[in-house]
Amino acid sequence: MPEFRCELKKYRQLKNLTQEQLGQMVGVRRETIMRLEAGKYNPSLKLAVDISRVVGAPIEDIFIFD
Amino acid sequence: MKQCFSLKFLWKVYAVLITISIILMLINPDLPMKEVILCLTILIVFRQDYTQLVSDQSKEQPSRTPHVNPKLGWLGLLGFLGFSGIPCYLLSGQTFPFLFFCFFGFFGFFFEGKLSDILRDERFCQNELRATANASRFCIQMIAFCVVISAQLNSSQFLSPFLMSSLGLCLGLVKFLQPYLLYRYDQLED
Repeated sequence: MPEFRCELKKYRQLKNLTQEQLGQMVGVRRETIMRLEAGKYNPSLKLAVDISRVVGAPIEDIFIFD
Repeated sequence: MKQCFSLKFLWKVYAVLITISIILMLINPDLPMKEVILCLTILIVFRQDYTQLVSDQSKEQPSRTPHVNPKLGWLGLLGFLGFSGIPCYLLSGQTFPFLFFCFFGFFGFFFEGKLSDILRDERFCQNELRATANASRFCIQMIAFCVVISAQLNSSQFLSPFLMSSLGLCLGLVKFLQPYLLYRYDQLED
């Protein structure tokens, strides 16, 4: 799995969303959001795009590949 | 939809019956066919279709895992009936009780119960495929190992019970490993 930094938590908190709420909005579980924020899960393109639309930030700002 | 499921279920029963009959005839034509075939058919078909049957009943939530009672896992204790093959074989030469080892696969219901009513998101589906692949790969390795061991057995006296018990254990292992690995990947892995 390619290494990347995930800034999702920052953008999620800016929108005042919990992990559970964000998960429901993009169709995944809270555990998936938790592992995404920890950088331990590589999302699909669709999921990354959906998250980007919900939090209102570009994908490349949320998922930063070194 | 229900008619399709019924036809699929009947087809699966027929296919399993024919396959098991051929295998058992090749291993030992003196086996009590009806009991063994019924036993294995129930195990294989019921085990595979139970979860699908439950999910068909909850059509309002097709994207969630079916609700499975984890207490069904206690049926795995029936696997210890496989040890009854030892006295059976010594007294009467019957080897079919060794096949009861396949009931150990029911222990997998413990882990399926823990994964009940969970949203099948993309991460869950990935873990499911990964668990299925790893379980199948491990079981194929076990089968190959058993075949090698059986080829080394000089005495034909132990070949039949060894093959029967190996077959039962491998069947049970396949059915147990998939839900166990899925639970481990999905819930425990960081």
